[in-house]
Formats: sequence, C-alpha cells, structure tokens
Amino acid sequence: MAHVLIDPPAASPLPPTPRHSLLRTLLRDRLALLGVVLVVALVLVAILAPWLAPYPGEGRGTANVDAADLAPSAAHPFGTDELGRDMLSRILMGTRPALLISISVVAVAALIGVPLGAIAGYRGGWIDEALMRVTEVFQSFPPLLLAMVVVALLGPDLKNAALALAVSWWPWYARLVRGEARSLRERPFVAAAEAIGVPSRTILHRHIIKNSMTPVLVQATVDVGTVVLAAGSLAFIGLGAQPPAPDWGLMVAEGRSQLFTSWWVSTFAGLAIFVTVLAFNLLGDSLRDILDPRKAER
Amino acid sequence: MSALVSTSSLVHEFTSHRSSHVALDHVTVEIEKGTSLGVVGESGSGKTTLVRCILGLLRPTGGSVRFDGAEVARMSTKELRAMRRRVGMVFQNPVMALDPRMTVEESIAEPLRVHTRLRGADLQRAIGEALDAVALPQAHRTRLPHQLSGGQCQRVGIARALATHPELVILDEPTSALDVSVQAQILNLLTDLRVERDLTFVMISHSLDVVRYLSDDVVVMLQGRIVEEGTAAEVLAAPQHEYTQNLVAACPTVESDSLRFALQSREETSK
Repeated sequence: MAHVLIDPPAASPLPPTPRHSLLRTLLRDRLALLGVVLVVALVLVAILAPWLAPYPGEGRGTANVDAADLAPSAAHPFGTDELGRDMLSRILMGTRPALLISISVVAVAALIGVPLGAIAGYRGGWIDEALMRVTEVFQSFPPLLLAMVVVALLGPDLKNAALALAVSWWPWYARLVRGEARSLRERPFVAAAEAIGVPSRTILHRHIIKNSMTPVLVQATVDVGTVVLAAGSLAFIGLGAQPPAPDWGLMVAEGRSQLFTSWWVSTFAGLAIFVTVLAFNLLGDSLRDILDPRKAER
Repeated sequence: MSALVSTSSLVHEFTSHRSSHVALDHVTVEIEKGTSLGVVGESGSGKTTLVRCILGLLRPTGGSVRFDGAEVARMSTKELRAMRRRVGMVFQNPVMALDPRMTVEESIAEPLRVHTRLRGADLQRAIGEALDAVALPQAHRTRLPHQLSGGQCQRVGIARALATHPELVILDEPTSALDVSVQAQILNLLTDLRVERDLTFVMISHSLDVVRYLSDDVVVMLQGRIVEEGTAAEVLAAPQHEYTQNLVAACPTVESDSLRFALQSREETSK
C-alpha cells in the first residue's frame, strides 16, 4: 500500500496517433467518408479539369452553334447549351474558379474576423463594445444586398463579387471567435499564463486563437460550400462572373429561359452547386468530431 | 531573515455600477524568506484577491504590497515581469490550468521562454530537469493534458511553476481537486521541493490538514479581514476566534485520517 502511494506515476502505453484515429473515424462514419471523397474529387476535378473535359475550349466559352441545344447523349453526356457548348466541359471547367473564389472569400473573411473577434472577446470592455457594434452594422445588411452595393460601386465582375462576399462574411467569424474567446478567457489556463507573465499578445495567439480554431475550421469548411452558392446567386442575377466564363451560377441563369425545352443546362449546373455545398457540409460535420482533442483518442 | 513579501493595510474593493464589495479590508501579512504561510478561509473571503494583488495582477485600492522591498504597484511592466520570474504559481484544478492543446513540454517551456533566454537544446535540457524534479518520466513530454491523470497534471503544473527556479511559490488549493492518495503524493513532493530549493510558500487552502502539514504560519480570513494569525500548530490546536473554532471542529476526520496514514506510510518507507 505504502509503495503504491509514493511510487512516481509510471509511463502508461502511448495513446494511438491522431492519424490512426482519423482513419478509424472516417471508416466508421459513412457520411463523413462521403464528404471527404466528394471534396477530394472536387479538388481533383478543379486541378485536372483541362485534361478531363472532353471539349476544354468549349468549356472556356468558345461557341459551336452547329451543336446548339443538344439533349444529353454519349457524345455530350450533359447535353449542350444554346451556343452549342458541351455542358460537361463547362461544368468541369467551372470547378476551379468556383473553389478558388470560395476558398479565398472564406480565407479573407477568417483572416479579418478571427483576430478581431479574439481581441474583442479577450480584452472585453470598450474595445469589445466598439468592435461588436461594427460587426453588427455589417451584419444588419443581408449579405446579398451588401454584395449588390459593393458590385454596384465597383462594377460587376468575379473579383468584386468575391470582395463583396468577404466583406459580408467576416463578421460571422468575428462573432464566433469572440464567443469562444470570452469563454476561454475565464479558463484557468489563461489565468495561469497571465500569472506566469506571458505577454497578452502571445496569450491571444497561443491560447485564445489556437483554442478557438476547431469551430472556425468547421465553420470555414461549411462556408466554402455556402459561398459557392452565394457566388452562384450573384452570378445568377448578373453581379458576379460575366459570360462567357464557366460559372455555375451563370449557367443556371443562361439555361433558365429554356428550362422547358433544354432542361439539362440549368439542371446539371445546379447539381454541381448542390454537390459542392453538400460535400463541404459533410466534411465540416466530420471535422467537428475529429478535431476535438478529447475525442481524438477514441 | 527579511520579509520576501509583505502587505500593509492592503485594501481591495471591487466596484460595479452601483454596488461595491470590499474583498480585502486592511490586510497586513509578512512572509519571511523560507517560511510557509497558509491562508485559510471560505470562498469569497478574499484569499484569491490577496494572491492576485501580490502577483500584481490586481491593483489594490489602498495599502501596499512589497516584494523583496519593492512596491509592486509602482513596478514597470519590465519590473513586473522580472518579479514574476521569481514567483511560481500552482493552481487548484490541475487539468484545467493546462492548455488542452499544448503538450507537457510546451506548457513547461512557456515560463522559460518568457523569462529566460534558453532556446533549443538548452531549453530542452531545462524542461528535462523540471520533469525530473517532479518525478515525471521524460516519455510524458509529448502528452496532452487529457492523456494524463489529475495527479500527473498537477506534477506538470508544479514543474511549470518551478521551471524558472522561483523563490516564492503560490499554491492555490494545490490538492483539493485530487484523490486523497494522490493528495499525499503531491504534498510530499511539495515538502521535498521546498526543503531542496529553500522555497517560500504561500498556500491558499480550506483543508486544515493540508495547512497543518505544509505551513509554518497561518492566517485565517473572513470577509476580507484577517481574524486570526499565528503559527499553524498554535492556531489549529487552540483556535481563538469563533470562526476558526468552527472550522477546526468541522474538519472532516475521515479525510484527515487517510491523509495522515498516507503521510505516515511515507515516513516508514523512507526509513
């Protein structure tokens, strides 16, 4: 008994490495696996589209009026649009810009929102008040309306649409991180760092921001899909990508007038958006489980 | 012998919009180098506020705190940092006091990075020494807090507090969140380290047994005031103030018996 009490704690066997548990989680959770497979496929398509597309030139926008409005067939699995462009090629070529725009919008929104939210939540007081009032001003406009204002000021193109979306997206990250920071601030390990004398800038990035990354990553992943949808909406109403760019939202708009004669134009472009949103949503959900350090072992 | 820390008529008042609450009401304590002071009192009695004032984390409303002769409230940021190098702090909840995403070695490296110029191999050596001092195997370096037991986490907390070789160690209920058997281990470790390194202890506790074991002197606080002070033996054997008498009478004997057993068995094995 006495020995049990005073022996120094023995080294217990090392827990499994995170990589193991990630694989196991994915194999157990079919939906998570589907999300990962779809996202990997989307990224591969984005990279390899010029080689995968049967008619890369038409995908980029070259018209071929002789083959206009063809229904899906072996030669054109997704049919052709009113300018005779192969829809499969159009959609494949549209993957890269869609993902690039969406990822940059989310990255910019997070880069602005995360530090501001962390400062507001950790410092509190008037800094918090001031920063949160600013985010509320931005949040009080519907994102699409705000985007329309920006595009109206700067002119309709894809870059301005992306800028507009980033401007309307960052407050959500600021609020998310502020909430995390406010609860982290009260945790003993932050008090411990303060007692040690760690400078508050270091506490902000080492303890506050790092520990709020899980919800940010989950949100960012889901948002990559949501922004694809939002950028598509802007293109649909003519405020995003301009023809002849291979943009999914634009394709839905182009096919809208012939929905009853050439249903395939809008339908397959819409499906591409749908699959992208779904894929990033599934991935985001599974990241939530995987990134929790306490769950990582199981 | 000179006082390492002294407070005189320390007052701290928390004020919100309308109400104010006096957390410290003219508290005067002197802590000599190499001694161990126990601060006893119920929650809300001002124990933690006292400690935060000593560390310079709270600015007192009145009175003064001196660390090694220098007025804490007048210290510059640089002087405060220099002072904190000489003060280590051990927290009540050992698991929560460690960043859940930082490995053991990162946690121990934190005070070393702030207060010393040790980097690279020198830093690794200092971390190794800190782990040795608290009898944790080097294999635990890369563990995360949730992969350790409460007692192991508290050892990491002590290693972190002592990594910069401080003179003063502030212990905020260092064992109250631990199992009784682990409590004894941690108390033994603290006693050994205190002797080895000639440390000065300030321990907040509501367990009189822990105070009896670890402290030379004791102050009893009630509603921000010191109601009784003296050597631990005197105060606990013959409490004068009604509050202390109740505290001593209410002390659970089961816990004290098992703690005493654990401590006795240690003495037997060390013979």
